[in-house]
Amino acid sequence: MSADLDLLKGTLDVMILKALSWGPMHGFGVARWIRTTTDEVLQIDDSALYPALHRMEHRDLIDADWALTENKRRAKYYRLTTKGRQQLKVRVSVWDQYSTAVSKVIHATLQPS
Amino acid sequence: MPDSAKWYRYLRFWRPNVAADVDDELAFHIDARTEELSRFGMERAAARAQALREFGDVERTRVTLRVMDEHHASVAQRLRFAADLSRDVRVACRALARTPGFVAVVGLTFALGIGVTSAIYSVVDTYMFRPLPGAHGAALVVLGRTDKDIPQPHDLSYADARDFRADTAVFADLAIYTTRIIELNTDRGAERLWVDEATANYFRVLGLPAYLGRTFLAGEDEGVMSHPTIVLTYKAWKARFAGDSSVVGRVVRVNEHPVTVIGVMPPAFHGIRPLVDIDGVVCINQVWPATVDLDNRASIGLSVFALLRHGVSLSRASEALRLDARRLERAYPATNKNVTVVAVPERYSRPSIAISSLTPALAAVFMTLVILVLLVACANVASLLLARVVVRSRELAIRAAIGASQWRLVRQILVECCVLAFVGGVGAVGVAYAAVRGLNSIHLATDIPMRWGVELDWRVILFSGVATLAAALITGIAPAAAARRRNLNDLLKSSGGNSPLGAQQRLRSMLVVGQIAVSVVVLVAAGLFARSSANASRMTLGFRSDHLLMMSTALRPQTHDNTSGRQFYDELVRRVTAVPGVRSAGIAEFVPFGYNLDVATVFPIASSVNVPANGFSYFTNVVSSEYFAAMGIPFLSGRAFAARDDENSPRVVIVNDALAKTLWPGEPAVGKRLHLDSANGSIVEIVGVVRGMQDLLPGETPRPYVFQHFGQVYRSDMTLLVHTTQQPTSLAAPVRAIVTGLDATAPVFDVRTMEDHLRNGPAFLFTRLGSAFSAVFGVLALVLASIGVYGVVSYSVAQRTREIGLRVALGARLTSVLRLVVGQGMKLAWIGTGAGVLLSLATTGVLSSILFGVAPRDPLVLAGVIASLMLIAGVACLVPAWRATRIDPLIAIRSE
Repeated sequence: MSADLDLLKGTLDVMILKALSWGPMHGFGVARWIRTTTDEVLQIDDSALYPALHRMEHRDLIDADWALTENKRRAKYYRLTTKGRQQLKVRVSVWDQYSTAVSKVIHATLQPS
Repeated sequence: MPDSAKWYRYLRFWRPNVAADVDDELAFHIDARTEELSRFGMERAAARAQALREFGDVERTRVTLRVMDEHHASVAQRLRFAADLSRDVRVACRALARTPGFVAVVGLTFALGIGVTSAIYSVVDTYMFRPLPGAHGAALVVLGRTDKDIPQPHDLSYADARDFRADTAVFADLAIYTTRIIELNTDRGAERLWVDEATANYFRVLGLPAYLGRTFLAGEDEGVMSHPTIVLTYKAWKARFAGDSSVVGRVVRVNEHPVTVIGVMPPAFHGIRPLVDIDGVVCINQVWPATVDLDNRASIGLSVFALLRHGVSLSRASEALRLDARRLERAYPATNKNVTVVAVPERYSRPSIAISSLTPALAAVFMTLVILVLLVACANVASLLLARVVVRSRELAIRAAIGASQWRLVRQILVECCVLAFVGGVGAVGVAYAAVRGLNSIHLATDIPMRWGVELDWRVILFSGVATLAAALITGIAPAAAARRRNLNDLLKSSGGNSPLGAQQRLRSMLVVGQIAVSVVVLVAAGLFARSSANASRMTLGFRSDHLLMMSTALRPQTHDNTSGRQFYDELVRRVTAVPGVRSAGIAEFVPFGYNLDVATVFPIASSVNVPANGFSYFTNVVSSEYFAAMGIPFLSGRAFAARDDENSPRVVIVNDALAKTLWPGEPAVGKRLHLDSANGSIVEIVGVVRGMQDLLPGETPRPYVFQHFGQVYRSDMTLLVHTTQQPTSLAAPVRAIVTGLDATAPVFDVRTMEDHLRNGPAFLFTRLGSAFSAVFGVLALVLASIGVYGVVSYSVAQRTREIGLRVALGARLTSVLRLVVGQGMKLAWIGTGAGVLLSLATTGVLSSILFGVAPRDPLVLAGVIASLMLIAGVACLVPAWRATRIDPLIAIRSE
């Protein structure tokens, strides 16, 4: 993975929150959603995904429960808590400001005086 | 996935299983991805390999997740526990707040039970368990000499002690000391100080450094008055020198001779003797006048404490001391025949090595009483709580029905007990504090600076805490067990008060029987102590204890020689006798049951008994001719001392009948002669025989005694004994005025009546304290037991309200209702008392060694205890019985 994508790794939490904002999902589902949504540009290492999920669970941003999949397999489903939903809002607005700022800089047309 | 991990997934049915969950989650991920990839047409094995590759390091992730989750689970569990506990505490507090009366009774029971026991523990702790200050405080032993004449361990001679110290195979170090009075000459006049006069290693053996300045250096006890130095105690430094630290190095005047203050000791140091609070320490024979006889082995009067060499056991030391004593006996047969020395750990030598053999027994008895009372209190609280659980049984059953687990119900009850115990514990500290204050206000009749400060320190608080916790747990067990056995069906089916709760009632009855039995034992002990104490104070001592005023003075050798001193005392007696209200007045060197005594060596002449080579050692006293009249000691034959028995006439003595019978059995002793002090010492003639008296221990058989005449043997320190016709204290002021009128510098001290001296002096203080303590215990046990009986009976009345109401409605007479209720309670009282009597008959034998004139199975005490318990139990039953008779049958039956 290249360095510019490393930069985005810190945003894993916000992506997980976003993934779960559609509804409860198991870890594999989260990984698949991120992969397909980013058109496989962001290949999140699964071994990084799970510690993040568990950490967020311990911080009460998400909640977990065991349930059966459509294939009748037991899987651990995560869903957003109220606190997680608020967190998502905050993180999204921070990200927007950040990306707008960075984007302004790198697309700047005004030469430094 | 490792198959071995599968079995413990089932653990999830009981509790969260972190490891299995992590395994399952990761397995699901790999499987799902494999599935997805094979759906895209990948071959299965390749798909799995691809899935694993995409995942990264599965094993590391697994470990990371497990660690994270386990940590989180344990934190969460602790938080949950704390939350549950605080909810339980809140619920318990709310429930208890609804029944303030119950809380008050339980809290009071706990507070009294634990508070009083803590206070008693403080006393035992202060005087028995707490080691002396200093690094070696806990390891010290004291030595005591025993011989044929005085079998109780007592002081040694300096020479003997020095020889024992030389046995370096046994002792790492050994200090020798005696306690004496010195006068500190200040601008305010002479101040009497009590000091230990000791070998220079005194503080080294104790392992205690100075607070200011230094302690003695090796060799500072050598020679006579060549190192006049003093180390002050903290108390003396504060009181006499206002805590001025420049006092170190200052030269002060002691007995009109210069002495250098070299140091001040820390506040914890009070001297070696447990009850005396000394002012300082000086070295042997370094302060004028030098009085310790370093070489005479017959001159006993020195106390010894020592540090055993590392690894030497007490029994090995005792054996070595025995051999050393035998060696000294061979070397000095004249003085050391039959002399043995015993070593006792310092802590078991209190309050005095003479009665050290009794001390552990006394401590054990008190501690047993403490524990018994605590048990009674616990039984009471358990019984009260049990009743409460029974009353609340429906509530508990309903809570169980709506899903509360048994453990939660039990925990709720245990938490309730702990809250109660906490309330009681706080009260207990208050009660203990008050009790200790009360104990500290006990007055001791002596001007010896006594250390009577019972301290309530952290050890006692800790003891209270442990006792409280133990009490909570013990009392929690019974109600918790009762709650566990609740059967919902039985309870809900049963209607109200008539539920079949026989098991609980039986348990409560057993508790009450048990506590009555224990109370009987405590009361019997209290009764025995009380009788023993009464006996001791009523005991015929052989001398007058009423209408007798005592006053001591000490003439300073620098102002009075023998002639002027004798003139002083003669004039004093003459003037005091002339005071209106005085019958007679005499003087004596020692008073009975005092702190000092002296021994004379006697060699009878023309005696039929076999005289040992080193003669007989008998107590002796120097008295004036009026002493016997003032003390009320009757003459059996012969005459009193007379004015003509002076320094120029032949020496005469008066002996008691015990001596006469021992040395001249069947013969008149008057006119017989004896050598005093040594086989060829001065010859004295017996001119009178008086009746024997008790002198050292209450209840003892009078010991042989020799009285010498003040007119022939001068002493500078004497005690005036005044027999009065009126209240003796009313003459204290005029008599004191006579002393100071004769010599303004003469100190007057120990002004007290003989009654006061006996009651509060060393003779009876411990017996009195013992009986006071056990009386408190007895009353406490009685109160607690009556609360127990009352609780059971009144609860049973409440349970049987309907039945009693029916009986009354059907025409039962009041007396039969009374009999019904009282009979039930009294049955318990009788069973408990019977068991208690058997128990005390079996156990109080251990008290026999510490009782005066009363047998451990004294029928009077037993009868008194039975009667008082029955009376109290009867009253405790009558109150609820009276309430039962007032039950209105209509209300009782309708109340369902």
